Amino acid sequence: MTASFTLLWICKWVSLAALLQTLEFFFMRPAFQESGVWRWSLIRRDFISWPRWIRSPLDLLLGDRGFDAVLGARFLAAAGLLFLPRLSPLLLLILLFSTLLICVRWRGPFNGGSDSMTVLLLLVLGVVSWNPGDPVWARAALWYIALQTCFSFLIAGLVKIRHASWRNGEALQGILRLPTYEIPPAARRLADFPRFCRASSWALLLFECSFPLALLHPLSAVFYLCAAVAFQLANFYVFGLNRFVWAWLAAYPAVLWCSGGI
Amino acid sequence: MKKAASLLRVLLPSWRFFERAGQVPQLAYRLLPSDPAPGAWIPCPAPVSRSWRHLVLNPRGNRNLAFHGLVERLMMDLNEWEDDRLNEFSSSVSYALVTEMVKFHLRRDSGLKEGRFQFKIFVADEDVLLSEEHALP
Repeated sequence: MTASFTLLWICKWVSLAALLQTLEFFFMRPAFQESGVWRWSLIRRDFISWPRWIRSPLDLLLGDRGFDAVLGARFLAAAGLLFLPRLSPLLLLILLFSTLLICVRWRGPFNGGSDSMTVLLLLVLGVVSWNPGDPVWARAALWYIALQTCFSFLIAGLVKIRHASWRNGEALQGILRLPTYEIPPAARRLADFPRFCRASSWALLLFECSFPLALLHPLSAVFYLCAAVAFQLANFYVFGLNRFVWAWLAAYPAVLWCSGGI
Repeated sequence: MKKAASLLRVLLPSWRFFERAGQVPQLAYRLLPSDPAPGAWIPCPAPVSRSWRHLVLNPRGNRNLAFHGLVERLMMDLNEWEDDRLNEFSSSVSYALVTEMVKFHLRRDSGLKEGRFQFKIFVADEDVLLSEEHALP
């Protein structure tokens, strides 16, 4: 698999992720219109001290009609990238810019890490799209995405393993009892089994902390990526975090390409 | 600066997922009918069921996650609010957004068009914020 072909695959996956995210926003429309919750007339008060040359375009783009246009452009750009046989700088720019506008509209990331991964991939693809055919840029882009993907697991593991509550399983029990994520009853009942929670915590900590080993060999990459997909599907089942599945799936071709490259 | 920093979080990911699993703030509201007894506290947002089709599109689930994010942001803002200006907290954007969220639920889930309500935020069993009385619409 060549570097440019791998980047094209990443572009297809992240476009699919953006397309699905945008469709979700269309379904959520009543919640962010002027008659809903995240009404721009309210949120714009956060920016009242910002210079007028920033506030005026924000008012134009993030009011009801402007934001519908932003989401429409985002949908079309994502659909275009899904079918184009190359990286389009213009469409990637539209996707990146609209993703950042969505974050402004929600006073920060709408869906935490999945927004960060989406922006990271779009930024890298956007830079590469201005230098098509340059193998150095393409390789650098893939390594950057692969390393950030490894960091996303490694850092998550390292910050957890420092806490005794993660090492003895209490943290996982606590998370399974959180009301925030609307956890299915079957998964919630697992919190009543401390040994299971302890064993699962250690499996998770070992998996996350050792994830960079995926880069050592293509076989280890396949093993870790399969485990990562299973982990994120479990996260979806338990916590409802569907956007993470799609955003991280988009990054995995880079890990696969870089594996064995050390 | 804080607003800019929260926007920058998307550009500079920390990847510190689930570092701590402490108690989270929760929201509940109650209706204030004209008779003396207020209604029971109702958790908000109402939970939504999940199936595998939501792996592709999960608008209500993600909207609810964003609603919980509003409550957490309100608590962060409350903790950073200056003590001598606490009586002005209800004029903050975070407070207004949570108020609108309760109204949204009352209109859509309970079908109410008018009435009075109050909300509270609690952590474990301890109330940390009791709102003023608000009115629909």
